[in-house]
Amino acid sequence: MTFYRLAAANVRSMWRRFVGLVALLAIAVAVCVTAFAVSGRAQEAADRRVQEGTANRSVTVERLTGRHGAKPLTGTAVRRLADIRHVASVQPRAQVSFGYKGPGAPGALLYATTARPALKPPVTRSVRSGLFPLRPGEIVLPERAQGNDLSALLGKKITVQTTHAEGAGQGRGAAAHIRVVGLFQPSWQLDGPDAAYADDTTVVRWAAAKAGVPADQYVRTVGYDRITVVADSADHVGKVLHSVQAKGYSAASLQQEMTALPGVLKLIRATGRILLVVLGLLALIGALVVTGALARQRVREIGILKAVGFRTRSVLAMLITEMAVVGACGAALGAALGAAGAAATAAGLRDRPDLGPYLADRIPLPGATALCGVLLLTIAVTVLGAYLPAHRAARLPPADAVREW
Amino acid sequence: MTPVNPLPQPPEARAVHKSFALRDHRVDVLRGADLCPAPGRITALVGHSGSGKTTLLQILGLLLPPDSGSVRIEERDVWQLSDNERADLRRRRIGFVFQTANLLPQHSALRNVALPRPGDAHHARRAARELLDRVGLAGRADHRPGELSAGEQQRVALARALVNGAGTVLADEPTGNLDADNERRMLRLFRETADEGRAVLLVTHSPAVADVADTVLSVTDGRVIPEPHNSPSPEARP
Ligand SMILES: Nc1ncnc2c1ncn2[C@@H]1O[C@H](COP(=O)(O)OP(=O)(O)OP(=O)(O)O)[C@@H](O)[C@H]1O
Ligand SMILES: [Mg+2]
Repeated sequence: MTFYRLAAANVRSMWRRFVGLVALLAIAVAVCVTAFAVSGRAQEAADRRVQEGTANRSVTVERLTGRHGAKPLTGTAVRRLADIRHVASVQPRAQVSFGYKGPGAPGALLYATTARPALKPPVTRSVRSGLFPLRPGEIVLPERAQGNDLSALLGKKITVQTTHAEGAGQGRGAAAHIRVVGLFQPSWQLDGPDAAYADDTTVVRWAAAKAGVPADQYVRTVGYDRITVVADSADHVGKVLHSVQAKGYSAASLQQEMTALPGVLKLIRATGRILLVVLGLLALIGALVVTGALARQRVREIGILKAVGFRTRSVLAMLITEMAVVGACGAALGAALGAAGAAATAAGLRDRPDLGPYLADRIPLPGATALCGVLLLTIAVTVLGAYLPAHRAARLPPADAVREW
Repeated sequence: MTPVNPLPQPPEARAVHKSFALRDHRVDVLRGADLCPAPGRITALVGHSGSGKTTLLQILGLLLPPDSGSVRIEERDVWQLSDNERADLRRRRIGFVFQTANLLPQHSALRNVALPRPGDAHHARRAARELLDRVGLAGRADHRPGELSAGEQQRVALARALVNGAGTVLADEPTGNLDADNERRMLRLFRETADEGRAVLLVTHSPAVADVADTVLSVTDGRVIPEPHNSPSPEARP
């Protein structure tokens, strides 16, 4: 009989003995494939978001109140900034304080802020999806502020206190009505700790009243308090920042403030990789031990084959063929399970607002090269694990080998 | 007596020494044993238990290297040959039956018998079936060793030893587990095999087997001597 016929017959008649090994390999491969697929995909998305996300591409221009010669951030300033090369968009912000007091809320001083598309707050609950841009008379509040739980206000029309200027440095309170259409996480403090987001018209109207200027002249005279300039790519942020400062504005980039972030990401990624490698190594050692044990169970069989005239090379080829088949089955099964696991994980996480965006668009499958690599590695492990004990057995005189149990 | 067919010469053991180291002491099993089974004859090898019959048979069957002395086939010392050449000699020249059957447990009787047969699978199966028929196991071809009795396993092992038409058949107590009827049947088979011109060497404790043998030799004190109680034909002596 030829060695490959014998190997095929062995796999057919001894599959029960191989089931454990196939299961071990399949689970190890499946876990690795799932982990790599999900984390790799999320990593990629996270990198892209952090790198090319608007936050990382934005330059913040501040109004320096009270400093001599400081340029106001008027409509003209917005237009001038928009003309700078590599600027994708310019998003001005106005902010004005207002007070709220009501049932369950002893009193809070908040800042009505215009919402910029580039830096939308993380909304937790809202009356409708696609909240932004806000419609006139709408506001999005933090869930909590200054010890007040504001979450009960969602969907309600509330009365707030704004300020009307009355001569220099004087003002009186005035009531205004506004509808709460959403709530956001209070940990979002990009616009200060007590920001609330209202539609542009409302914010400008309140700010103009407080400053004592007509609403239609506010932007031209007092101007915005902050402008966010978004560069067209992360690489151009430096240039844009330079140009903005050259035009006499006080500006800083978020990129400068986030220099620590990539390091953290790298650390997280490295930790993940190390865990995966350790897992892979454990699986590898397990597979080596199991295949080695399987081969050692067959020393007697090796002796018999040699006694009836099989050459050492044929005996080893037979065992290697069997192990390669078993390894390939384990890897294939594992890859299929891993792909299913990755798809299931992605489906499970897709609905979560914090993770969903990173897994959204497609079922994350590892590439053909990675799959081939896994297949070859698995086969190599099973073959190697079997080869050493089998080789030793095949080198024994057949009489000694058949004596082994 | 000249063989019917000019079959290749059987292996010949000359001045074979073999000892085993067992923890702190050494067992000198063979001390200058000579043995050459004659073509066309049945040679019986007797001796008390532990005298070294199995050891000598395995050395003659190229399954165990001697410490000193030689095993020769056509004047070539087989332990000077390569591992591959020895494997080929075992396949083509020698049919070996172990004291315990040593079949592959995962395969049917038929596949076990066909195992040493090279080339076309169909022919191998036909030859194997024929031999199973001759050892009286035609109906058990598809059974695995675990489903066969010890005597049946031994007969499958004998069929395997004969499947390549080797010129030398070495069998270690082939009738040890058989009833009188089956023993006679096996002996008839050995006789037919010898009549084809092959050399048959049987290790045995059975008087019936020794009776049919043309030559009876005994392993005594590590050497092979003619068995005094039988009447060996002088030309069959090693
Ligand atoms: N691999 C081995 N290691 C150690 N001792 C061995 C080995 N093989 C055989 N022996 C010893 O060699 C001696 C001869 O063994 P062998 O099997 O050749 O005897 P035997 O004549 O076939 O006996 P039996 O009739 O009981 O089968 C025994 O004492 C045995 O213990
Ligand atoms: Mg014995």
